Amino acid sequence: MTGLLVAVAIGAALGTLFHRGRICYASALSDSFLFGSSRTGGGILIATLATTLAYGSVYAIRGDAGFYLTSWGWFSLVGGVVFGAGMILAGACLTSALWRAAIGRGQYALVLSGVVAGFLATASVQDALARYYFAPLWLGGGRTLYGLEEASAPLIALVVVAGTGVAYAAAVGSTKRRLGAGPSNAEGRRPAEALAVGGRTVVRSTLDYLGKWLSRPRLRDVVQRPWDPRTCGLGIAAVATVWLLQYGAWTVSGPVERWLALGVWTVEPGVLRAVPGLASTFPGEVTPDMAVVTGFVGGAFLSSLATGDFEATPPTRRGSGAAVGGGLLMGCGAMLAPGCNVTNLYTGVALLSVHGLLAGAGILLGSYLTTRSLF
Amino acid sequence: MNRRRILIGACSVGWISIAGCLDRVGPGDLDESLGGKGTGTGTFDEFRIAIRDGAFSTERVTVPADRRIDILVDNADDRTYRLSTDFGENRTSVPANATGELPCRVPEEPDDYELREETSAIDPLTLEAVPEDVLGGCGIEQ
Repeated sequence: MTGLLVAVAIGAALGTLFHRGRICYASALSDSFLFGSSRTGGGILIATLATTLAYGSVYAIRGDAGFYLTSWGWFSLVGGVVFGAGMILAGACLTSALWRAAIGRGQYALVLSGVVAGFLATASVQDALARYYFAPLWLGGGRTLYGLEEASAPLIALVVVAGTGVAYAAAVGSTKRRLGAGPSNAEGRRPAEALAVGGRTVVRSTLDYLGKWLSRPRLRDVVQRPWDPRTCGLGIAAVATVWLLQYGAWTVSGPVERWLALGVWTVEPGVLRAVPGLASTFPGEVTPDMAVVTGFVGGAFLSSLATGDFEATPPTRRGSGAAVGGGLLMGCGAMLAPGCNVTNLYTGVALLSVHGLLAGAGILLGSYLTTRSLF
Repeated sequence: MNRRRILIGACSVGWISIAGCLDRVGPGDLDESLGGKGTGTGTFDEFRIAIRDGAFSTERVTVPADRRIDILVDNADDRTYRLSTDFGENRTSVPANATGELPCRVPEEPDDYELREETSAIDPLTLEAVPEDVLGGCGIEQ
């Protein structure tokens, strides 16, 4: 019981951080693809990089205990693409659909209903998927790059984080050139100069960010106003690391599927037996990772009450098709990969899991293609 | 808006088509002959099969890849069978009218493997290994 309460508290912290930072992978990615930058995306990137450093250290201490390392193959990429496409279509990732529904937005409850439909549709053909989809597309068993013998896990994490930081700075420099807000076109055209410009921009914004902390923000603002996504990113990394040490890697779609299986079993056990994919996720009891999801929703709800952000709004008829359709694709993608935006693009990347990296790449690809085709 | 509708429509039609084709296999079809625990290809690790009149009771059994399993063999014939798999050093002898047990670790790679009778007295049984760890969504087994 204590374990479940701790899990709820962990989930509540994550829900609060996601709500206060307005963390949404769908908006972060679509903004990045359309405008070359995203405030929320910066928070997500910081969360992922900080978590990567932490997980690398954890691996060095106790190996891959608690890591989510599953088989990988082309199915990782395919499922990621389907999930990414659904995310953009729905206008929300799975986690943001959860916290937005928790703060009363009916539109995102529709997205979640689509996700549930996607889970059920995919789970109903699990046996066929096992034989004709997962088995032929399988390439290897669960692996993490931290297990490479060439270097220690913390060093590998450091190299990955540094490489990503350099790539991000180059992208920022390139974007500033395109928008005409930085150096002259001639200067920004070369990658090295774009990197220098981007590096200066990143350092400047980091110093500004630290300056805000030193200026001691008013308590009222802290309680009522949205938080800087970078602060939330660091908070998410800290909480996710505590959870890894306490239980295991943070996943969302899996626990949601288990809640669905438990709910179906409670109402009508016969239905559970008729859907093999659901039966195989049936936990038999409330597990700690399910309690985290519950805490996540509750944390977002309480956070919205504290900030006066809670508002029950019904779904709009105009956007309902996209919401349900996008949710359906997310539900299917989460089963086909398997995993959602958190499992693959956050946890999977930070774990340097081969499956997570491939599925994360799929999510980026699906999001990009859908953003470009829709907007 | 039109593009969005076209995309939703295309995805819906695509999914229904795929689901329709796949559903012809039918839920539970993969392991209906197993007698194993569980209803799908989910978490089960014990499989019961029978030998009667010089033949296995089924031609194919679906098993989880990269997992340790126990194959229980009920021999209803009046002779002893010596069984082995085409992976690893897994062998057992099942006396007449008795039950034998063959514990083994299924290879990591999903593929068709065989359970054979060493004297070729009966046709081999196919062990179809599927990547069980990716079925039923993501999550950590504690």
